[in-house]
Amino acid sequence: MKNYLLITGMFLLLAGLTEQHALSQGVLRKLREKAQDEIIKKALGEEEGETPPAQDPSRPGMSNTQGGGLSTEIPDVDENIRLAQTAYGSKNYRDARYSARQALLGVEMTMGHRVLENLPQSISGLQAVTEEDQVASTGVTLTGLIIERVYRSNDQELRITLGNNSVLLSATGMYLASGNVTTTEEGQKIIQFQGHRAVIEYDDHTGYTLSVPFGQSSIMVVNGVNFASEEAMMNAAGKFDINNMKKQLGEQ
Amino acid sequence: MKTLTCIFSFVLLSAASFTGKAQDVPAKLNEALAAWEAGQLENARYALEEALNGINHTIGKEILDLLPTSMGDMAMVAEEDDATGTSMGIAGLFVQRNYRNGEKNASVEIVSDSPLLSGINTILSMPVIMQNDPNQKRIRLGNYKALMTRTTDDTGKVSWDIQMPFGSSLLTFRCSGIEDEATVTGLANTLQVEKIVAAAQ
Repeated sequence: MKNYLLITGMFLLLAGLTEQHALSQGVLRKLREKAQDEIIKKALGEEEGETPPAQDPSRPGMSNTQGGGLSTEIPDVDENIRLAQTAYGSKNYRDARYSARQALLGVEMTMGHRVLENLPQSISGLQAVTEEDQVASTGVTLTGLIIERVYRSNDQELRITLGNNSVLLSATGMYLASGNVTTTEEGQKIIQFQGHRAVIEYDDHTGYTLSVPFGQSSIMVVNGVNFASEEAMMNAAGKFDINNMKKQLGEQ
Repeated sequence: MKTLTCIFSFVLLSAASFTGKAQDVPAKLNEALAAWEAGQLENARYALEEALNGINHTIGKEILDLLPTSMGDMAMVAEEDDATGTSMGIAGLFVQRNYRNGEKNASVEIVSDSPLLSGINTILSMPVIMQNDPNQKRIRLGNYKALMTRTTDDTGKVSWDIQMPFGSSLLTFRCSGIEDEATVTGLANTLQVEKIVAAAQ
């Protein structure tokens, strides 16, 4: 039953995160590849600082050696609402929809960043890795707003993921709150977390995972790797203030 | 399985509760702007969602105007026309028109952000998959590829589904009570798909 609950209730949340994970995994992969390249160069006796060839002989055309990537600016909400008003007034409904969606994206991204600003900078000795902070808004699709932060040391990691304004998260929360989940299965149990019904799980590979649906359509998922005990995990997760998050996300 | 059933029931209940009327779009946009400028993010978000529903409703009504008023000898059921600005509780596009004549019926449905899209696109791009299924084939609606599926129920009644993905949207033409495939594709091709796509995207 635990698998059904998690798979069904959060598959779109995770689907929304896939892109974000893919992004961070891509960065990690590049770093790893770079490190491997350095090792190979040293093994082959190549000098450091050697200029790489401008062109891969196996691929015609020029290799990209510079560029700042894509900008991650939050859409201008004021401007997009005004554009939507103008477009709708001139019966250009497609542009009106696009601008309204951009404005919505801007609002949700702003909400996400405000939540991140109010999360602790360190928890149980683990420092926030703010450069890995993630805010993803899918605007008006099933997954809604996704916020993620990681706290890490050399051998421990605590990852908090917040999902908000999602239809399926709403359904999961209602199901958990309905009292239908009363059994204790191996590797999971139902607990109370800051006055909310929650599920905590343990897996040898992924560690502890605490899932707390709150409000009408939100969920907090905290994953702890290499925590010595459930108590240590709960002490760390307890530093997150659900009521404060509810206020920032406009939840009831 | 019981858990799955419960969760999907909640989802369907949620979807049913979201089929609201068109919103006053300019008023909702003004409301969103005022809330944003006042720093009330949740209110701004809610107003923008309502505005989007309203815009989608307006687009939906335009699409309904593009749909034929009859399909062969089946007349449209005007009171069942649906142009709600939501699909599955999400601010997207949902348009439906039904046609009926005795045992025969047909419907046209346009849904944006449809979860079925990726599966249909996969089948359409890999026609070899369909070689093993005699009840499925690729056809064209206007200039668009579509997936045609034939089903027969226990009583022997034949039904047809024609699914045409475009962008992030899906147009579905359903028909039952007609056995002849050519008749069904002829009916589906009375749709002005290019104009519908232009309005919906």
